[in-house]
Amino acid sequence: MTTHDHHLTLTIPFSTPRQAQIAYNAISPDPQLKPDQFTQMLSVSDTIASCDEPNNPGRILVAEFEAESERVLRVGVNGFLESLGVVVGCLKDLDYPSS
Amino acid sequence: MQEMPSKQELPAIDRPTVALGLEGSANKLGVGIIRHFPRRKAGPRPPAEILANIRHTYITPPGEGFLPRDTAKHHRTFVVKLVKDALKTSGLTPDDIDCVCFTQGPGMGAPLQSVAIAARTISMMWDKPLVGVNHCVGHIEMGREITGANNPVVLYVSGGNTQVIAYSHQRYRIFGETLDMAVGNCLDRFARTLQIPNDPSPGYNIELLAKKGKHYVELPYTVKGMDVSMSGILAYIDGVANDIFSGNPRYAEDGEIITKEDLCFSLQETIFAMLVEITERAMAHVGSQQVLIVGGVGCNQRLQDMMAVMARDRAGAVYATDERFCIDNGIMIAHAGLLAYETGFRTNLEDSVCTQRFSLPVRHQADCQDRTDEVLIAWRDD
Repeated sequence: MTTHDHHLTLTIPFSTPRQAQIAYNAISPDPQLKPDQFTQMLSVSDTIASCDEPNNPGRILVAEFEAESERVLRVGVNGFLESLGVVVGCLKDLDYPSS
Repeated sequence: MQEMPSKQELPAIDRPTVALGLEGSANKLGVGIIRHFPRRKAGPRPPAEILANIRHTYITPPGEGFLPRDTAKHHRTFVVKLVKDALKTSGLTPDDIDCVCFTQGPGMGAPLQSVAIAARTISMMWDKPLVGVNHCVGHIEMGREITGANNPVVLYVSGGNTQVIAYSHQRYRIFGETLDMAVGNCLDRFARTLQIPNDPSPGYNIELLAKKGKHYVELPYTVKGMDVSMSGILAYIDGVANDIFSGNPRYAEDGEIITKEDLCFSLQETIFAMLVEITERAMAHVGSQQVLIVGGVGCNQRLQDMMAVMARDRAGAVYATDERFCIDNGIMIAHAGLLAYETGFRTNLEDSVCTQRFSLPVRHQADCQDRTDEVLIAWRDD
């Protein structure tokens, strides 16, 4: 992986470990369009720093970004957030409890 | 490469199956739910039941086309609502659904990807297998299902695709296609030149104007063997339209001024005549009496009528569907996906990346499904 000057890390809390894993699995397959300029590393963390409920681990999606410029970083992170929005929308409104 | 199942190996389906289908390869976002019934002994499959077929179209102002970024945003905004509405319409719960189908390509990258992410999420949430569907095969299978045409020559005409197709040995073989832009794209772009509305669709508004056209303006006629070319026709007619709009009227033989209605009429007559010609040649090659017209341009009444005249001369018939099934929709993806699902086909998450083009990707060359004729039609055994 190329190392770039511009970094950003986002931590996205989900209510259950399952939801965090679903978000990870849904977003991960798509390749980055310009891997030489922008990289995106996703992981599901089970350690939560400064959280209200430390007894419920494994619910944070960690997204680490590296880009060659601020502009590329902004565009790439926006793309990630747009995808994440779809996942969260589905989880929020379509995650019917299985009978 | 998946092994071709022989007739005996086709799995027997002994219960009804249900699929959710998500389509978003262009400016239409569609969600459909379909039910298949088990095949009777030695008989044909009973007709499928359409439980929901909901569509939301991204419509741009007159003179503007739809751009990938904005179209993707539209799909992201509406996909959850449409799935919810489809479930409500069907009266089903996620438990009743066997598989989640989505358009994997060809189409516009960003809109495809937005819908694919929703499909993946739903598939995991509901714990149902994911099935990636080739958009063109979706159109063909839905057309066959609705019209009952069992082995037709297929004319697939839409905003992104123009192909003449015939089935042989578990593939939909492409007999002819456009060499440059799709027929629907040519019509859409001319609608932009004329600045006519994109609501409900540019092609429909051209069709309405064409009905009022009286004078035929001769345009280039560009059939190239079994293929057609559109770009020269569009450039020519755009030139005529721009002349007219900039105060240089053209006159018909009877001395009347050529109107935009005349241009729409002439464009339709020329393009559709070309399509009829290559379709007829394919029918002669294959020895088929049936023509099935699918794709968004397929609901054009004038195209259907012209095709019917040709088919009648050959003692054949035209099969077409209305806008619910012709224009991109989710139900065709659910239908084609469910057919594949019933033969055992599944799409793994890592293989669920969408593809825009008819190109051979390096990665999944073995089971590539990008081109219409690369899809193994495992559910047909004729």
